[in-house]
Amino acid sequence: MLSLALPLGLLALAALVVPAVIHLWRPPPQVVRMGSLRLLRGNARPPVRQLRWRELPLLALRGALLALLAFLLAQPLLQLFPTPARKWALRSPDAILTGGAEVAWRALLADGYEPHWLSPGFPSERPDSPASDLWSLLRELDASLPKEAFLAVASPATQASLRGERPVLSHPVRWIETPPPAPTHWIERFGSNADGQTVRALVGSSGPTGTHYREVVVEAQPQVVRDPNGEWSLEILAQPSGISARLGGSEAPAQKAALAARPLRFSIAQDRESLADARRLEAAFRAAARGSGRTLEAVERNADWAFRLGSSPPPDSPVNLFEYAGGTHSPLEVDTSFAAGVSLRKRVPGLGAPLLRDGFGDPIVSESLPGTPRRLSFYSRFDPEWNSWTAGGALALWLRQEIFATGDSAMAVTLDRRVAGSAQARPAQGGAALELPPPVPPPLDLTRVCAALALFLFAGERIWSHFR
Amino acid sequence: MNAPTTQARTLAATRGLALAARQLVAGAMAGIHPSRQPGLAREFSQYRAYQPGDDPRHIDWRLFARSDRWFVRESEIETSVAIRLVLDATESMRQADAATGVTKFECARVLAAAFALLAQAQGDPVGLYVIGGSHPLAIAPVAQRRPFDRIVHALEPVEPGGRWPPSLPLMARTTRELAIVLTDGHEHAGEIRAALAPLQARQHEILLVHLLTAEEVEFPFEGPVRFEEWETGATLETDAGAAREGYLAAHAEHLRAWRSAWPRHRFEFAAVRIDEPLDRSLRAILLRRLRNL
Repeated sequence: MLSLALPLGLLALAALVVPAVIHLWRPPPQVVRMGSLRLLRGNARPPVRQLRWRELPLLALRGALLALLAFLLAQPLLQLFPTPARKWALRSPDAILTGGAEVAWRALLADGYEPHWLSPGFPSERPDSPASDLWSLLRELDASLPKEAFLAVASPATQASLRGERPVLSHPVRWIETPPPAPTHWIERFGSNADGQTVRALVGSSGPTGTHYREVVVEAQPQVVRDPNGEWSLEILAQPSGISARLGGSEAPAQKAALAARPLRFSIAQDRESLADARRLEAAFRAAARGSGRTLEAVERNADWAFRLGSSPPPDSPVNLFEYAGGTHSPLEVDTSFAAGVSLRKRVPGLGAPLLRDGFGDPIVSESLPGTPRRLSFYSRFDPEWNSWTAGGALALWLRQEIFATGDSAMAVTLDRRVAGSAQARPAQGGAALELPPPVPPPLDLTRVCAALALFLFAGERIWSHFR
Repeated sequence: MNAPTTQARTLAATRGLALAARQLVAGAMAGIHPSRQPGLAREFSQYRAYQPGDDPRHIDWRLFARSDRWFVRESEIETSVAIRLVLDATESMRQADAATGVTKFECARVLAAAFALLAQAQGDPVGLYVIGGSHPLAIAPVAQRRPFDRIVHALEPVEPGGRWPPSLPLMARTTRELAIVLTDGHEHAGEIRAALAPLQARQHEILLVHLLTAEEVEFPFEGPVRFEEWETGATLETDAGAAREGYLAAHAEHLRAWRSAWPRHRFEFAAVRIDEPLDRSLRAILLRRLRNL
């Protein structure tokens, strides 16, 4: 099969215009004055001004010479044997190449496998993001690769990255299982007890065999609590800003959690029209707080977060404020699914930086006066008739992210170091064992052949032009 | 002594028409026509016996007194032929030889002057008719002492131009006449033939000198050529190489048609290439006339 190492060289084919113009161009006719045209009229041919190729064989020779030069620039390669299949070597970001895995990986690279990271986009450079859903990535790559491709994957068999249904891939996959990552530990929850004298910490540990939690209750004073198994140590710190805890250990990354001294206070002010809105908001707010380590307390005054719905009076002290924007609402005359679930919104000038936008790019929630206290404006209502956003769980997730800031799913995935079972640790690949393709000889470089032929044609063109 | 050949280039360089004509005629040994024939004249030739019917006035009475016999005195008489020079001065006579730049008209004018000089040498009356051109002329052939000077004087200011008039018959005289027509032979509707027809009808002799350029004879053109007609300005663009064969055939037919325009005993056709020495062409014309007589 003929291929080109530099296909852009074929752009030189544009030079074919030159001989074409030369063979089409005609000089202005010679003017001869005659005594009488009578003798010519019966023998004259029609005017010859129209475009007509002259000396077609010479034109063909010149065109062939230029085409050959363009072909030469493109560096033609002749593959006498079938094109080798493209081979991908994919490495999970959390794969540690040691021992046999390292030997296998080096053998792949020596065999012509292209190394890529098993991460969105399959980059050649190490990505910043940790390992994510490898099955989805493999499905995506399997669908995009040509049929004659080979895959090799180096990954630890962790449940966190091999989630969901095991994929069935059309390409053979050589699986290199790397050693499981080291166990990890983290502070799942840290807070004070009701007596105010002691603090409680919930420390999570995840390893190949499973994930478990250990609760530690100690006095609220500086001290170090060690795990009976010696895997981690929890340091209680007393600082001017309050009590905090720091997790350390030989393998675990340092982690620090501040003590939540008291429940988060919130208040919801509503008018008669927005009573139902207030109920939906409180439900979503409590759902967002669940699992964040913070407890909630509904208060009338001095709230940490004040939700002001409708035309209720403003709070008397500067707090974090989430309020309905003023103005009248207007229906959107579009498909609600296209408008990101927003069917009614208020047409008022946006305040501050948008935090959430609808399908048209208009802000749904914006924040003014960045800093403390925060002030968020909502251009819709917590009403399913206004939008579908507040009806589902999306509102709770958004509130957790904006207010409690603990919903880091990537962190949770990273912390899970459990090893997947044998049934989950391999993609279903039809049982075909990977057989490496036979070595293929390199393609034959036709550059010298083309150069010699071009020289031959050039000499022929010169001789022809000289003796014509 | 060999006569100097008058190349067209030399002719072009010669300012004086009379000088050019004299140079041309210097090599011409033959005259235009035999000027003497037997008859009655003052120059004695022979006596013969009187026969009934002879004019008694021609009897030599002195010889009768000595011999008592009647003899009639005979001599060679001078027979003159009126020479009518017809010069084509139409626009197409501007056609020049590509190599020398000498035009047909310049050659025709020198030839006309040369014929006038020859006629003067033979004592023949010479007339000049210039057709077309800047100075149309009609000088009747009358006996004059030095007609050559007058002819040359009349020829010098003439510049070619215009077309041959469609209806201009040359009036024939009753006396014997030789019309020497110097032309390129290009006519649009037979106007040259029509003009010469009265002369032919009167049994006058016609010598048609057809002037040709090398390009007309050889047609050396190649590729796209735009041809322009001198007199009408009409143009024709063609592939000259492809048209050559047909043109040469048509040109040969054109010359053949002129050569056989009239009966041969009163019409002579001479094709003269202006790129060849004119004196050689003139000598060839005169020698051929002598052979034909």
